[in-house]
Amino acid sequence: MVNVTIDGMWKEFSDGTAIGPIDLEVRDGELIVLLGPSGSGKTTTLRMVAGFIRPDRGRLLFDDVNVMHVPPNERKIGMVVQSVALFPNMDVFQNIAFALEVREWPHEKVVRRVEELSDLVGIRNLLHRKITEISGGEGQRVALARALAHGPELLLLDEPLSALDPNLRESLQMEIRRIQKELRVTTIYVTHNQDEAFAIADRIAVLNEGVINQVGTPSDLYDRPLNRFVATFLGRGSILGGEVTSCDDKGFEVSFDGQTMHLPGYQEVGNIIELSVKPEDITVTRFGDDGLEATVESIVSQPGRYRVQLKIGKHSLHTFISANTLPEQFRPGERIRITIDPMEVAILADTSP
Amino acid sequence: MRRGGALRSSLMLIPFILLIGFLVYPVAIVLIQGLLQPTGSSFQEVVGSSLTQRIILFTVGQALVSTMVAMVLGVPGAFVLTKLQFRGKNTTRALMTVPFILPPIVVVVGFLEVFGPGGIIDSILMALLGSDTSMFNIATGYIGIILAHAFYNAPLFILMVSASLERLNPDIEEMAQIHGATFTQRLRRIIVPHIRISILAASILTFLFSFMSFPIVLALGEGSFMTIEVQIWNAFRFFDYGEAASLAIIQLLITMTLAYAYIRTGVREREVTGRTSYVRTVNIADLSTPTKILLIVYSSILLILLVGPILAIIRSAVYDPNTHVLTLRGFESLLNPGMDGGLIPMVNSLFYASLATVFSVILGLLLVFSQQSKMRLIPDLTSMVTLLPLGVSAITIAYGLMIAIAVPLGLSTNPWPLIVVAQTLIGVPFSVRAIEITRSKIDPAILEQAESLGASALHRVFFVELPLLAPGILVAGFFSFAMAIGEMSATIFLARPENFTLAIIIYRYLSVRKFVEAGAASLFLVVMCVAAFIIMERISENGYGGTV
Ligand SMILES: Nc1ncnc2c1ncn2[C@@H]1O[C@H](COP(=O)(O)OP(=O)(O)OP(=O)(O)O)[C@@H](O)[C@H]1O
Ligand SMILES: [Mg+2]
Repeated sequence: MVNVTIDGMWKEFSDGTAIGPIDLEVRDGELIVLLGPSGSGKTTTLRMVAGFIRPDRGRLLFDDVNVMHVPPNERKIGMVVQSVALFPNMDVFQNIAFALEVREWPHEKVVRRVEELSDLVGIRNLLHRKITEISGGEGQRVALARALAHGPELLLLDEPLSALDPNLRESLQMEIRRIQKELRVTTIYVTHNQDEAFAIADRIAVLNEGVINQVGTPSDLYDRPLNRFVATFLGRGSILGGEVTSCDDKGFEVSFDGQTMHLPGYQEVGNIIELSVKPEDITVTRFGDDGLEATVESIVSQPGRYRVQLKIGKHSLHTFISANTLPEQFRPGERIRITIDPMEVAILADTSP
Repeated sequence: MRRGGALRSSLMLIPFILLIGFLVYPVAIVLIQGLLQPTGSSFQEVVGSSLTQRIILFTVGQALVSTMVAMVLGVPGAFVLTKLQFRGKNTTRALMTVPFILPPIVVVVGFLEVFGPGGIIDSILMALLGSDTSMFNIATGYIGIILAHAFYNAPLFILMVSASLERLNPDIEEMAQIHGATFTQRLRRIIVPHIRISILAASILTFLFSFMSFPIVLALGEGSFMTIEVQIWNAFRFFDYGEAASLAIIQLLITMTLAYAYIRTGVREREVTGRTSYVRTVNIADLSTPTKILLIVYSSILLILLVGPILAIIRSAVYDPNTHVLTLRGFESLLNPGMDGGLIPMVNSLFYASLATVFSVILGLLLVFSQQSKMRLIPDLTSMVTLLPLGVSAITIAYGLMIAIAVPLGLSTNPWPLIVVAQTLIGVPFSVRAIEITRSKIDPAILEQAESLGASALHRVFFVELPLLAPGILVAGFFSFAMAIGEMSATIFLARPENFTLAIIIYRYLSVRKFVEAGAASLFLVVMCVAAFIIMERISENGYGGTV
């Protein structure tokens, strides 16, 4: 379809809030997820790509053509937004047909195309309902069909599923992914939900405070987060900071708050480094003297497991223990020992906070 | 509890009895006399006469043209007000209600001062072209009437249509745009279908206003333009009660139909519009140059039409166009207690308007309470009688009061109580509306709380509900006062010379070309109305009041 290049796109609002500079390459036929917390600039970025917000700086290329001055209605984009925004004065059929009607397609072609799309998104039986007579999930399907009707080269989805309940959301995620792969339409999908991003993305771009922190496949980001933000937001990991005390060909030793830990790889002695540790790579034991000493801060029951908040010196960590473990052994204030799988620890390249 | 309930229902009956006695019964008498026992012309004669047909045609025609002009002037303003970001936007929106509370006869004075012969525009042209004869006048005659109606109703379009535009989720427009719709396609397929109902509702109100407009047609028409309303008055003055009643019937049929249509559109609007979304606005600086020029031209026209006449009243109070000098004669005359002076009318105006204000607020309160009634039919019935005064013209109300109450009771020699009644009736719909708005903002949980704590019904009304309604009651009061003090149609119909109000003497001054005297009296009324407006705004600012 189209290869999208966002190059140094930057926007400052009148109140001083700035988004950007955004640099991102969306490859032909790929589904890229723009992931970030609320207020990080996801919608603004998407609206700049759509052409609703004019960036103060930067370029936007569709297949090497600068579309910065092309109005939104000529950019060959399909879009779905969180509020659905179906046209209230039209029925389902007319909503889906909208993009074709404004392009003055002949009536028979419109009918055929709308039927084809309604089959694709599974709403064939709703075509003549009013939009007030369909459910939220059905509304999202109609919105998707409307966005795809004119065969857009680029599909923009801004939190299309966030208003739906979790089960429906999961099944629609799968469908969006199936349809996107079937049509091979280049897609930017915005969400603040990590699970959704992992479920649907070819690649994820993590956005924080108006800047993209890291772009990569879900496992790239999960296993090798570049900075503290990506590690905590994406892997829900904990951060340990310490000083490299020795290094040889078997690895190096890092110490924090009087305890040391061996890790593979090479680090300059004396370096201050940060490690990202994911909850599933921590093993907790009540006894013995392996690993590190930690204090239990709190323990909270969750479905099928407990979430244990730990403290090593001034560092906080968290992990999960199975519900079969006796939680009384991990009362707050209790001293326990933990081991961390050294192969899974990620060393953050970017240690600026 | 039972006693409280009984008290409540008897309180609820009061406004019905009063409205039936002073509105329904008199109008019914008009209809019966007109149809069954006409003195003067019979209904058939009136309907068949070519004069009547011409009058009806003119009345409808001018109302249609007024509606079109107000729409053309107002709808773009609604877009400017919603879509454009500029400083003073909230003030502008608030100021849009000012024309609405200005007395029509005062607007006539302002119009003559700006657009009339010897007016501001005329003077400028004369000075520019070095001419010493008047060369510009669009204040009197057909154009003047239309423009004065637009003065009142263009703001109505602006307010009603912009309120509707604000309810259009901006995502919807953007979805139309991203999926390929050009500006005109969006306008035709999305925006117009959305604001259609508000345009229709504003059109009906404007048509009704222009259809029943009396002082404007009388004063700017200078006797050569007849609407149904003016002709009812004429017929009455020449004792052709048959004609007056017949015309009132025709008028009532038309206005009631329209009032009903208006209520229906209101119902439908509430059904189809969603929540108010925040609007995405454009900064003036981001507009293209042609758009900016268009915007400047448009705002200048609106400014001259809407603000010009109001400001010009100041000039009219001190500048005598007959002698071309600045003078304080107008104010001297306003304070003159003699036969031709303004002091007695001023006292009359204040006295009648104050009484009418008190009554219409009390009636308004009682009507709002009965609107909340859980009894079947009562709320619907209440809304109906509340809106009745909107569908019956002021002249018909006055005419009904005159023949059904003044004549039998011997009040016709000094009918001042009826003037108060008429002014009260005209204020009731507005005071109900103002109180209703405040009531709808009260959290019902507070009232339930009072009830669950064991407060009696009476206690609850006096110590909980009334204090909470206070802002609405105040707004209702000032609004009613502004409407009453400027009321001219019913008042002129009923008043004997000793009952004359300022509105009436302004009209009389104008017809004998005493322009400064008219100007000074107008200035006094404007100051009263604008003061009422400012107080209403202050009350509404804290979020409790509101009128439109
Ligand atoms: N028109 C505007 N004027 C000023 N600030 C704005 C405007 N639009 C967005 N912002 C600010 O820009 C930042 C990014 O907003 P944006 O809507 O892009 O966030 P988001 O990542 O989509 O968040 P969410 O997940 O809550 O939708 C926020 O701080 C927001 O307040
Ligand atoms: Mg957003």
